[in-house]
Amino acid sequence: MQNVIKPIQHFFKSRSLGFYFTASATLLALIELIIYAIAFNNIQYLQYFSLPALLCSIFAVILGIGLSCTKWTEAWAPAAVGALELAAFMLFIRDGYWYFTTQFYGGVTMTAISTTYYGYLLSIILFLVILILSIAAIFMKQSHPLTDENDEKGVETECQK
Amino acid sequence: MSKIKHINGYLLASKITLVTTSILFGLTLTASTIAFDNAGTISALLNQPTTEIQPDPNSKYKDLEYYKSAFDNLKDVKENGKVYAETAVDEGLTLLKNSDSEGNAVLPLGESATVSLFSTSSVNPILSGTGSGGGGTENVSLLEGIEDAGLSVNRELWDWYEANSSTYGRQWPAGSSGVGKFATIGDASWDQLPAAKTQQADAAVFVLSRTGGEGMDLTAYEDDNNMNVFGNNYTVDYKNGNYLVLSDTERDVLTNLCQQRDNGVFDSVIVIINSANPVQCDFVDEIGIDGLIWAGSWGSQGAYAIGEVLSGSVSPSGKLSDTFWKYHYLNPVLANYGTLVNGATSPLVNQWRQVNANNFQTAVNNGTDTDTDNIENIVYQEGIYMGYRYTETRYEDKVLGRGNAGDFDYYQAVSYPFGYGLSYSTFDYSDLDVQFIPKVSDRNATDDKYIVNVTVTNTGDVTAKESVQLYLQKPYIEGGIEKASVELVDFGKTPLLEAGQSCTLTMKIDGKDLASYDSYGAKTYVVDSGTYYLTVAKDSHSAINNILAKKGKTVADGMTEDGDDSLVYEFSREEDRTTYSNSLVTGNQITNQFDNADLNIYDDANEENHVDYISRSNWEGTVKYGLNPDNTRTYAREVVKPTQKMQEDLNRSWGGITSCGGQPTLIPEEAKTSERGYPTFGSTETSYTLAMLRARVEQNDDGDPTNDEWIAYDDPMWEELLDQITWDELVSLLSDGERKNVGISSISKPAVIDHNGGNGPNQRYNIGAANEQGLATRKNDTMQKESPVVYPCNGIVASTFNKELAYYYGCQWGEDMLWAGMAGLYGMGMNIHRSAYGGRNFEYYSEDPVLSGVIAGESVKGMSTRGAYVYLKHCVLNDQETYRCGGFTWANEQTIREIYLKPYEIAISEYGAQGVMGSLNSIGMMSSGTQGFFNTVLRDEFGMTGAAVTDTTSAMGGNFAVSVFTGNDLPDGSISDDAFDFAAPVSEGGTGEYGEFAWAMRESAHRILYSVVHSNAMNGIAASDKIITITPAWINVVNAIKISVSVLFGISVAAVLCCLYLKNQDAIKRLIFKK
Repeated sequence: MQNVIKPIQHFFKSRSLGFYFTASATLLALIELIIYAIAFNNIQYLQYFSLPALLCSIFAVILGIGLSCTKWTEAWAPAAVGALELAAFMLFIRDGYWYFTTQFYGGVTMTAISTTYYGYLLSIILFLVILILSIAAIFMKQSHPLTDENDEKGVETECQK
Repeated sequence: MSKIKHINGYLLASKITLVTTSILFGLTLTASTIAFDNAGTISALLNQPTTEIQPDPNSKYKDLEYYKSAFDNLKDVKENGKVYAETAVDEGLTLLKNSDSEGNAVLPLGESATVSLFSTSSVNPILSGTGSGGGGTENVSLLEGIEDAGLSVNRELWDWYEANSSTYGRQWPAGSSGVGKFATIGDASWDQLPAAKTQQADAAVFVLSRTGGEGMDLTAYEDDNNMNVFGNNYTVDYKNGNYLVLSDTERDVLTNLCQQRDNGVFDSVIVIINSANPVQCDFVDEIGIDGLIWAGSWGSQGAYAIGEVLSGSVSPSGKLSDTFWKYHYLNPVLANYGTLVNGATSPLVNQWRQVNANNFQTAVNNGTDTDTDNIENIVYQEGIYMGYRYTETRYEDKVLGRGNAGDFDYYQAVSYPFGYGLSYSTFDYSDLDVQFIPKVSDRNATDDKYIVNVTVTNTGDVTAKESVQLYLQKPYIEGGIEKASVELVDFGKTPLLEAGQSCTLTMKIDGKDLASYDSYGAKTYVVDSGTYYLTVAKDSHSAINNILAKKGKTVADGMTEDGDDSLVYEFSREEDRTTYSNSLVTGNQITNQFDNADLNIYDDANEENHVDYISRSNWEGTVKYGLNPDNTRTYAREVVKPTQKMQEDLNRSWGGITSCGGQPTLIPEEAKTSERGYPTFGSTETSYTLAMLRARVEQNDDGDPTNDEWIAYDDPMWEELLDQITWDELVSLLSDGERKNVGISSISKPAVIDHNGGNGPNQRYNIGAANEQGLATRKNDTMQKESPVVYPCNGIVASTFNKELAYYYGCQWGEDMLWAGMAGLYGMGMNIHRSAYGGRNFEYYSEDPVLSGVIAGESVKGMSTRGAYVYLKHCVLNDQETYRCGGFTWANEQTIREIYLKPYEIAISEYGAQGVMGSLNSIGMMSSGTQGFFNTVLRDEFGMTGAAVTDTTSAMGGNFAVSVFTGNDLPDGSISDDAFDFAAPVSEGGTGEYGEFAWAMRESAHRILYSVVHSNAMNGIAASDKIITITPAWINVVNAIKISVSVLFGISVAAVLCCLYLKNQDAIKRLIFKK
C-alpha cells in the first residue's frame, strides 16, 4: 500500500502552484465539455453546437492530464490546455453567435442576461476561467526542485538529471 | 549565470508575446469568419462599394434613365413630400364630434380665433411610431401649424408646456424588448398648470396622445396601477393598466376645461386625438367635450392640416379607417389578443418571449400549458367578426331578432363606427344606379361586374369633399358560411364640391366579391344563392341601417336610426360553386391551404382543442368577452393544449426553435434530386446581362425608345440567363439579403438596396452612395444627407378614402426611393388593425381588408412609376407584437383569406405588388416561410412574381436556407454561405443529393432578378454594360490584419522555441548524444 501511496504523495508534494493551476484548468475543461455536451444536445440548441469545439476540449483534457504526468512534459501542459481551450472557445463563439444576436436583439439588459440559456452562460464563464488559469500556469513552475528529504526517498531529482 | 538570466528574460517576454498573439490570432480568425459571413451588411454600413459598373463606350443607347424623377433636385422632392404628408392629414383627419350641449357646431373656429393648447403632447406630439417603421424628428410644431392658419395661440401657456414637457411628458420604452418596461402618459394636472390656463380664448384644444411601436403592444391589463412583472413592481399612470383610456390627470384637466367653458373662459373644448391607435371614447360624453378630431400620428407636416381644419380653410373629409369603441372591452377580439389574458401574471409586453421546445415536450407529456397563461397561442376565435363586421352584424341580428343576439347595445359598444366622419358641410346621396355587366358581354373581362353610380350633392354652404362608401350584404344561411351583415367593397371621393354642386361617383364590385370562402364544405370560394344588397353609405352603421330599411325595418324595430332604402340595390344570385374555385389571375385551383392553422381541422380535429368560433347563429353562445355592469371585464381566452402532433410540427418547421422565430433544420424529402437532375450553373453558352432582360427595347438612332415591352417572367431568355449564374453567386445572392440583394458579375446584376419603411421610406437620401445609386448621389445633391419627410400613420392615409391621393402619395414614396437609390421597400405595413392595442398599428392601414388593400395598392402602383417595388409586410397573421416571434396563430381558412390575406391579394392581384415580407409568428405551428402559402397562395393564386424576404433573421436564428424550398427567397439578414452546402452539386464539391432544392434556389434568384430588372436599380445601366463585383476595402483591411497577426503569432512561437532551446541546449545535446 505504501508503495502506491508514497509515490502519489511525493508526486503532489513535488508539484508547485503552476501544476495546481493547470490541474484546475484541466478539471474545469472536463466539466465544461460535459456541460457543453449535455446543454447543447437538444433540438433547440443543436444548431449552435460545435463538434470541433467539443473535440478541442476533449483533447485539452487529455493533454492536460497526459502532459502533467511527467516532468519532461509538464511545462507544456498549461500551454496545451490554454491553446486548445482558446480554440474551443473561438469555435463556440463562431457557431453560437446567432444565439446571442437573438437573445440580445432587444438590447443587453439584465432581463436578457438573466434569461440567457444556462449552457451559454456556464460555457462562457468556464471558458474564461480556464483560459485565465492556464495562461497563469504557463508563467509558473509546475514543480519545484527536490529537497534532500525527497532525495533520500530515491526519487529522481532535477539535480540528478 | 548572466546568460541564463538573459535567456529567462527573453523566454518570459516571448511567452507573454505568444499568449497575447495566440489570443489575438484566435479572435482575429473568429471575428473575420463572422465578419465575412455578414460581409454585405458590413459593406452597407461602411458605405463601401461592392460592385463596379464598366460602361460600354460603344453603347448606342442614350436614355438609360428608365425611371425618371419629376424633379431636378432634392429640395423639390422634399417639398413635394411635405405637400403629400400635409395633404394626407388634410383629407384623412376625421371630425368625430362638432356640437356643444345645445347642438351648435363649435368648429370651425374661424381664422381670427384664439386658442389655448393643453397637454404636454401639444408641444411634443406623436408624429409616427417607433421601430423600423418610425420616422425622424423633423417637424412642424402645432404652434406653427395653427398660427400659419391665422389663429392666435396662448403663448404663455405654450411656453410653460415647452419648458416643462420633459418633467411632465410621456415615456415610451422605444427600441427595447419591452420586458419590464412600460409606457407612461404623464402630463401636468390642472393644479400644476400656470395661471395662463384660464386666459380667455375661443377654444381650449387638448391634445390627447398615445404612441406605439415595433415590439411593444399597448398594454391593457386588468390590475391596479402597480404591475408585478417577473418579480418587479412597476407603476403606471393609466387606469387598470389600460393605455387607451384617459389617465386621471387627463380627465382632471379636461373636466376643469369644461368647467372653465361653462364659466365663460372658453367657448368650446376640443380634443385632438394624436394617436394611430383609437383611444377609448367613453370620456367624450361623460366629460362633455364639444369637438373631437382624430388626427392619428400626423407626421412632420400634419400640424398645418390641423390649423387649416381648426380655422375652416379646409373642411375635414376623412372617414374613420377603424371602429372607435366606446369601451374596448366590448370588442370580442380582445379575449385572445396580446396582453389581455385571463389571470395573467404579467402584462407581458414582450415580443421575444420564448416557447422552449423542451418545455413544450414536457407540456405535451403532462397535458399542461407550455407557457404562462397560454399567451403563446393566439386564437382568432372571433373569425371574420372583427371590428365593424362584428358590431354591425350583431346589431342587424338584434334588430331582426335572430341569432341569439342577446341584449347587444350598439352605442354602448361603439362611439364612432367605421367609415364615420363629419364635414363642415352636408351631403346628400341620390340617384343610385347599378348596372350589371356580365363577363360574357366583354371579351376582355375576367369577371362579372356591377357598376354603381351615385349622385353626391353638397347641400351645405361650405366647399368640401365627401367620401362615399359602397357596402355589400351577402345572404347568410344559418349554419352555413359565416357572413358579415355589411362589407366594404369599394369607395370613392368627390372632388371639392362648392355649395349646391353635385357630381356622380362611380364605383364597382366584381363577381368574386359576392363569393365567400367555405372552409369546411366546398373548401373554396362559393356564391350562395339568395338576396344580395348593395348600398352607398356614409359609414358602416348607416350602411346596415339602409339595408334594414330596405327590409322594412324602422326605429320601432330597435334600429338606432332610420335608414334610406333608396340607397340600396337588391338583387339575387344563384348558387355558384365553380366560377371562383379557380384563380381569376392564374387559373390555378383554389382550395384550403391553411388547415394546419385551424384547430378544428388540425391534428385530426383534436377535440381537446376545439374552437367555438364566433357565429352569427349564436352570438351569446360564442362571444366570450364582455363588460360587466360594474365595468369589469368578463372573458374566456381560448386555451390550446399542446399535443404530440404540435411538437412534431414544431420540430419540423422551426427545428424546435420558436424563441424568436427560427427556420427549419430538417430538409424535406421532396428537395432531393429528381429525374431532371440539377440546374446548369456557370454556363458560357450565352452572355446575357440582366439589363437585356428588362425589356425588348427598340430605339431609334437618337437612342430614344420607340418600344419598351417587358420581357415576361416565363420567357425562355430567363432560363438562359439563370444558367449563367455560378453556384457560388447563387449562394451569395440568397444568403445575404439584409436590406439589399448583392451584385452578380456573370449576369452584370447591380447590387441593390432594399430597406425599411412600413410607413414610408425613412432612410437618408445618400443610402445608395456606396455603389453610386440614387439621383441624390449621382447628382451630388447638397441635401443628400437628409431623410424624407416623416409621413403620417398609414391609418390616416386610409381614412382619406382617396384612391387618387394614395396613388400620388405612392409616387412621392417612389421619388424618395429613386433619389435615395432604394429599389425595394420593406413595406408597406399590411397587417390588420385586429385590435386598437397593436404596437405597429401606425404602419398598418385599417381594420378593413379592402380599404387596406386598395389604398396600399394604389400607392404600390404609384411607387412602381419610379421603379420602386415593395415587400408587403408582415405576411401573415402578425397582427400583434406580443409574442410576434414564434407565437402560434390559429385561425380558420375563411378568416385568413377574407380578412388577413385579402389586402395582400388586392395589392398583388389588382395592383401588381411584387413581393412580401414574411412574419415571425407561426401559422399554426409552422413558420410563415415553411408553411408553404408563399407558393401555394401568393404565387399560385394571387400571381405574385417577386421575392419573399423573411422578417429579421437576426431575431430568428436558425437555418433560413432550408425554407427557400417553400418559397422564401431572401433573408433579412446574412447567413453563412455554408448553409447551402448540403444542396451543392457534385461539380461544386457537394453530394448532388438535393437537385430539387437547387432548382428552388434558382427560382428564388429568378424572382429577385425579375423585381430588380424592373426597378430603379437599373437606371444608368445599358444592356451592354458590364458590372463586376469588387472586394470592399474593409475586407482587404481585415485580411491584412489577419496576415499580420498570423505572422506575429508565428514569430512568437519561433521566439519561444528559440528561448527554450537556448535555455535547455545542454540537456538537449545530452539527450541527442545519449541517443
